[in-house]
Amino acid sequence: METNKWLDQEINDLKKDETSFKLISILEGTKSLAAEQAKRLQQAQDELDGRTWSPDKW
Amino acid sequence: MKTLVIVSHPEYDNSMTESFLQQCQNDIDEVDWLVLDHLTNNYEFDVDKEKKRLIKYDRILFQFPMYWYSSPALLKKYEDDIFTRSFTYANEDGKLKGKELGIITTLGEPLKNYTVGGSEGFSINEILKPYQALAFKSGMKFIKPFMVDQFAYMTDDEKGKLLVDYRNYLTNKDINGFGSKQLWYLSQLKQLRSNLSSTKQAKLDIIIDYLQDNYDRLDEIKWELDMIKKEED
Repeated sequence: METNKWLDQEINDLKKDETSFKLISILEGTKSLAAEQAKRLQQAQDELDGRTWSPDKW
Repeated sequence: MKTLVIVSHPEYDNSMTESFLQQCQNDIDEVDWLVLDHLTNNYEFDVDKEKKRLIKYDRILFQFPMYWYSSPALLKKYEDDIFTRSFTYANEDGKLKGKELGIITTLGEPLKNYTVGGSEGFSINEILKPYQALAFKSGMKFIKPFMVDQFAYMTDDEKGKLLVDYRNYLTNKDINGFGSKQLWYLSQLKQLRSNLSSTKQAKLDIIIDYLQDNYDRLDEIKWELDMIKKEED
């Protein structure tokens, strides 16, 4: 996904030249969090579309 | 939320796992770290002092290496001495009611072996039943356990993930919810901000805004879905 490629690159830029393991680990974890957000947003939007356009309501 | 980690490890000073976990949390004000093996050298505890200590915390965590499917003896002695009837029983004015109890255990064997049909034969949930029973009796909420298996074999990436998950276990009010996890990350990133250069702070602010926006959108769609589901019910 394009957005997450952007986010991953931004996080990689933030990590560059940093030495704190805590900082680097939390930043790295943020990539996974954002990927999970993107997945859930897509699933939730799909479910919303599905329920909104349910044939039962036609 | 105040958290107390009660560590019991007969080889604490030589344990790489304990040293790593200690460093994972040593900057967090709301977390206190108590090493039983440093507290006593004769298996005796100041019972009143320990009771006074425990009542100050919202989340109490026992942390230990699994020794024959239980904790090392010193933690059991601590339980036996400090968790007296009047202090513990929820139905007799116990002082622990409403708090949380959690277990952090380190395993030499792979976690996948702890299952029915696995080489250990029993699941971690089964093995930890005595702690769950203690929580039940004392009116504490038993939160899901946190396992660290085969630390010595972990890659740096795996250790990084462990650090984040461990901090989350110690400080996130709701360790089960994704909503809470998102808010927890946002607060961690905001705290890290001051360690960065001003250029990086500006970059981080954009990331924080992006994550917050995703959180808000997810929350909004979830609300809309809940409304639709209620109408359909």
